[in-house]
Amino acid sequence: MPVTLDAWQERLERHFTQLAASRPVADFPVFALEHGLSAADLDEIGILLRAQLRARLPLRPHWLVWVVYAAELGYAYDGQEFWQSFEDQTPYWKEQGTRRQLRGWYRQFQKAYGGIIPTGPWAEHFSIIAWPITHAILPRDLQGQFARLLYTLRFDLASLAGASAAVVGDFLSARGSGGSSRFDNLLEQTSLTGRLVFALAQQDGRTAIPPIYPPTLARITGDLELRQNSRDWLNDARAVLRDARVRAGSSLAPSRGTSGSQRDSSSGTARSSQGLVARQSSAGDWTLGIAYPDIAPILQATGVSPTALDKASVLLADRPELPMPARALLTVSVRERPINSLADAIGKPLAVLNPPIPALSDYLSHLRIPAASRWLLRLQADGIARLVRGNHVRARESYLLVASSPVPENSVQDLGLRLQRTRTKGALIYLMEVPDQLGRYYLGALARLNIGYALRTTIEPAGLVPRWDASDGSTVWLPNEEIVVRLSPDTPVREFTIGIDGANWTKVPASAVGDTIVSLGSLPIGRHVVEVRAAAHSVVSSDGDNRLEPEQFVVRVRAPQPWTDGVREQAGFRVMLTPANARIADLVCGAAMLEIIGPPDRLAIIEAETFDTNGHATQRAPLGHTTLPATPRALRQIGAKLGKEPLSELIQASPRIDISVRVEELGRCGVSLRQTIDPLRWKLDTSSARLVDEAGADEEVTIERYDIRSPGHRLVIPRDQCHFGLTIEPPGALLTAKFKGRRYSAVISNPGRLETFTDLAIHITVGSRQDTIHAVRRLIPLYRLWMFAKPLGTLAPLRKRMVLDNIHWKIASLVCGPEWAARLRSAISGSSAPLDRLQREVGPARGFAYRMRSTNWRQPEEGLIPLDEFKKCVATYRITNDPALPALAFQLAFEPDQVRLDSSGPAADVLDRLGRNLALVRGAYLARAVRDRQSQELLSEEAA
Amino acid sequence: MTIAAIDTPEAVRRLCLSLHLRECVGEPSVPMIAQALRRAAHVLAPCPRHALERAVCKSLVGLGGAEDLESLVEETTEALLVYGDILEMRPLDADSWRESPTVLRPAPPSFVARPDGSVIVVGVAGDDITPFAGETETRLEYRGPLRLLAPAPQEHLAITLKELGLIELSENAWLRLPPIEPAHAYVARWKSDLGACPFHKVNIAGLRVLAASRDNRLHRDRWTEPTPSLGGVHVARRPQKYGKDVWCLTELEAGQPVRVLDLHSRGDRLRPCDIAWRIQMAIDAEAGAAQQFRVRTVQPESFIDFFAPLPSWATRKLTIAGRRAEPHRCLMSFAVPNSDLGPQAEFLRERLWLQLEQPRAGGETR
Repeated sequence: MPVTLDAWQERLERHFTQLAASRPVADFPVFALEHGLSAADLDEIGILLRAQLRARLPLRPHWLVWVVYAAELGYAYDGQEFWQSFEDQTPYWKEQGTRRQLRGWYRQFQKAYGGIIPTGPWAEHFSIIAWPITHAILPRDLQGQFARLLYTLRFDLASLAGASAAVVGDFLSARGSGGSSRFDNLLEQTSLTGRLVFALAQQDGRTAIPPIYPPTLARITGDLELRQNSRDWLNDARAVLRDARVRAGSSLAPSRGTSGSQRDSSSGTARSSQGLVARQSSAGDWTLGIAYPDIAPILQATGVSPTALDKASVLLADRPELPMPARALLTVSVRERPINSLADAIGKPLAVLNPPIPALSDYLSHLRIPAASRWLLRLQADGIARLVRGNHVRARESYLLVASSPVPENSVQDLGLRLQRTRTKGALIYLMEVPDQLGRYYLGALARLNIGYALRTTIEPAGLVPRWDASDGSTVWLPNEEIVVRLSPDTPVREFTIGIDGANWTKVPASAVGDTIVSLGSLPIGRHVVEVRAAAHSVVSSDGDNRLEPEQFVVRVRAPQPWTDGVREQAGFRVMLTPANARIADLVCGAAMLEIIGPPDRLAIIEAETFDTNGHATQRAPLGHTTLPATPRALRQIGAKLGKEPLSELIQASPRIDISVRVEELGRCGVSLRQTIDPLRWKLDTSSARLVDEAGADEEVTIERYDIRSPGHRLVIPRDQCHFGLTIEPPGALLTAKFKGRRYSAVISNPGRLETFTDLAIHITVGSRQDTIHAVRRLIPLYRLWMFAKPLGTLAPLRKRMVLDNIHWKIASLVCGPEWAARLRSAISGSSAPLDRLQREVGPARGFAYRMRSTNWRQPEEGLIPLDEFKKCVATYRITNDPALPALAFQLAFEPDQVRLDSSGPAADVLDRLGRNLALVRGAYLARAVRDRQSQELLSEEAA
Repeated sequence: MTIAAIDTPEAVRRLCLSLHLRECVGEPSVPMIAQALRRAAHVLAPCPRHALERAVCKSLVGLGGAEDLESLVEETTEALLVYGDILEMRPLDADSWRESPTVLRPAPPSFVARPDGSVIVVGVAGDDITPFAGETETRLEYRGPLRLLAPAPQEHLAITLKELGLIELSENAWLRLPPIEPAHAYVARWKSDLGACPFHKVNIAGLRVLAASRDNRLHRDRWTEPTPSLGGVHVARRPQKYGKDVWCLTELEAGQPVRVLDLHSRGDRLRPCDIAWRIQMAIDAEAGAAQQFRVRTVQPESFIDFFAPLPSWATRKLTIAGRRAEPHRCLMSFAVPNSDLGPQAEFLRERLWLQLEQPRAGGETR
């Protein structure tokens, strides 16, 4: 007997009531996807709901069925316009239901059953679709990314001891974002993702309150495990999380209040006494260097976000003469870098920020190599000598004694010091090989240099080459590496007593022959101090002691770095974007440059790869190839290709663009550029444009259209015309949607039939009711409107440029006079009108006009930006005393979008005052014309 | 955490687990040393070769195994360089330290498809050493220094690996084969480069050269210190204070070097030793004493035996076609399917100017 919608509604009400009752804690909200229905049930529900719509029956009585139906569509959502696919799969929805209605039902679900509430910036922007998508828990196409993130962070998650779902979710959000914009949106739902981690970790366990309804969780993991890689990631991550749970005997990890990561941050980095290192070249000479500490925990400890570094520069001790972007701190983190001069590094902070960043600058000011006259470095197995803390030597070890002045000759003789060649200025380096037996003279000579000696036990990693963190003398391990050490006492011992972090003291018998091999097991993430005490045999040492000094071995355990990052850092070539925080538009216009550093004569193949909001690659397009070393011109040309068809539109519409460089078998490196995708945006389907609305803007949005041929003429378009697509006639138009005071604009190009080059030319009229300087007040916002509209479609960037040029010259003709402006425009295009006459007509101040003509506006006098140079000239030739005018004239000519002429701007009559000073405005426009010519010449030179 | 004294086989077993190896023989084996070297290459890179070998040797001391641990580590490093797990390059301009003329870097995780559908996995996946997790990691086969992965039923292995982020290396990109050219042209080019070096008589202590020999199958015996009777152009190795001897080409006059050219290729595509061995093969071929290889057929395979070292790219080429085999009265051997013997012999003739050893009475060569 067929089940009616009423029956489904009742069944779901019963199910969710029971589910809500089983989750008494606020931390465990209910998801609509936890409906417990089979695939066949869902098919049946879909058929009934569609029939209900067709029959125009009221929807409200079955609101809960609709909530489940929408969550199912959210589960299958692939990121391509939720509403479009919802309406495609639900005919007549548009006529019968509304988005707001659906949101209302989700709110009702939240109130009735303690349903989850979408949170975060994405949920605020996409205020309706956030509900069904959040209630879908983990949409199918994000499952692979989530499994990979769990795998990457498995050890960190395992160390989040007894943390709540929200804390785990916050951690995932902080560490996992940067994948795709949709995945970032998921991570903003911190209580959801935290719950998911708990659920996956406990799936096979017995817990009082399952974080996610078990059949629903089984369905998600079943889908997730369909792919081999996702299955591998998930299984490994679960094994680590399960192991942590077993070890701790609690919900996820040990029940202590602080997480491993927190422990790491609080104690992971010494605040002083940084490391000095020395490396020997194959020719035998030594270079000194400094070891930088791990910067990430320092940022964490000081509460400074990495983005705060974007606004400062830094002077590093190894490059004291070269200010660098402060992000360089992250690059030198846990690195050893050579120094040119000993004086550069000693007693001075390792890094100085400018301007200072509160807390961080204070922290960094304490990081310094201690001032002294001598430093003792021990030569270690990897051939690198590292600073010895405590200034004690051991028998049979080799050391370097670094001094700023010669060591007294008697000490050199008594200790057998051998002076080494060094490349570091101001440093004297002596090699000291400590003998097996230390006599009285030797000990006395050591004491004269304040070097101590004690019988101890050497602790060295066995089997695995240690990662040294010379900044604090620790060795660095991973949680999945068992720490096996070799204990070599200076004198025969009976047994060792070993403790970790002052606890777990364990007695270990010493091996009768050779070294004693001891396993310390795998340690949790954080900093640990291993202490070894040795009880000697009755045989006494030469000094009469029969006990050895305790020895410490500092271990820092960190989570493995995702291998894709680690490989990039070690690659045989580098790809950089200069400046590092450049946008895609900067690369296109040449304001930013790609740099490739690699072995000469290698072929570098450069590609652009675009990604959709889900992080799926949408297209890979070749940008070109070049032989290394790549010339700036070749790289600039490659960057410019991004702004040309056929790539231009794709680039504009993609939230993420990766520029990747492949250098033969050396691999692939690249830079990733991101841009935000608006919840309201225009989409071009052949010759019609459609408004994609994921903000639930509905009737609150107003739409305007400006045709390319008459870019100042506004036409208001009814909202519903945009739903199925608005036909755009050639050559195209600007469409703008206004919602909550923000504009979402696009220049849509429809090139029509192009048969000859002349078809490219179009006549553009920037009309104005009044042809006086006051029209500028209206033209500036118009310029901004076109400037910030995204170009869509073939030739759209070109059309947009043409419109902007026309508005620019319209403004020029209003402020400089139509005839002079027209001749200047011709001069720039090179068709006629040399600049000499225009220069003469700037005004009586010939010196000013000459300076406008002769200055290199691309790169004026050192240290000055073009605006400052312009103001300086205005002041020198006394063109005006009005303080508001120079900047306004300059901005009108060089960057009209920056001009502010609203009522809050300069006084209302400022345009009149500007119009009266023809020399000033003509000078500014002449300067702009000169700058454009200089740019063209540079490009021609490069092309030649 | 459990603190416990353990014996060396147990220590090795636990270390194998840390190195993601499932099988362990209780003492350092080639697969274990190879994994330890890959891990260390990631930890220390960019670093000179001797620093990598020394660090790994020192960490393994006292854990049993081969008597000559140092040689085993050196041979395994060589194999990783040959197969492309580790790259030998000159330092980059951006590198902070300048310790050595060449440094080692881990190669990015990549794979090369083999004719049988399996892949050779090369490179180092950072902290993870090998870029696989879960079930895929357990399927990885460690064959000496090589890592091989066979597809699971219904699996499109290349897609799975590329999705993980591995780079698919075409056979050509991985092999890095030099172009085919006559031996005399190859020698002439290097002689011309050597001729452009400044002429001055120098004494290089410890210099050793490869001299002509009546039987060039005795490769080791050909190395000699320059004697007054020696002249002309020779492949040589000159010592440096730290690290391995540098491969070079030298012109001798009465046993004294008058020109010296350190060998390296533009872009570091070829290793200096590869260049040196190929030059020697060309010199021998030009002198009418081409180096030889021997073929033994033991159904269903054929074994190709070599008496002198092969350039890395030739080793790779033979590995992709077949496998490295135990040497049989020679320096190294490879097993290849009988059907592939002809193309491999042709390859050796074209690129290395080698000749098939003529059969002796009752001999093995067919």
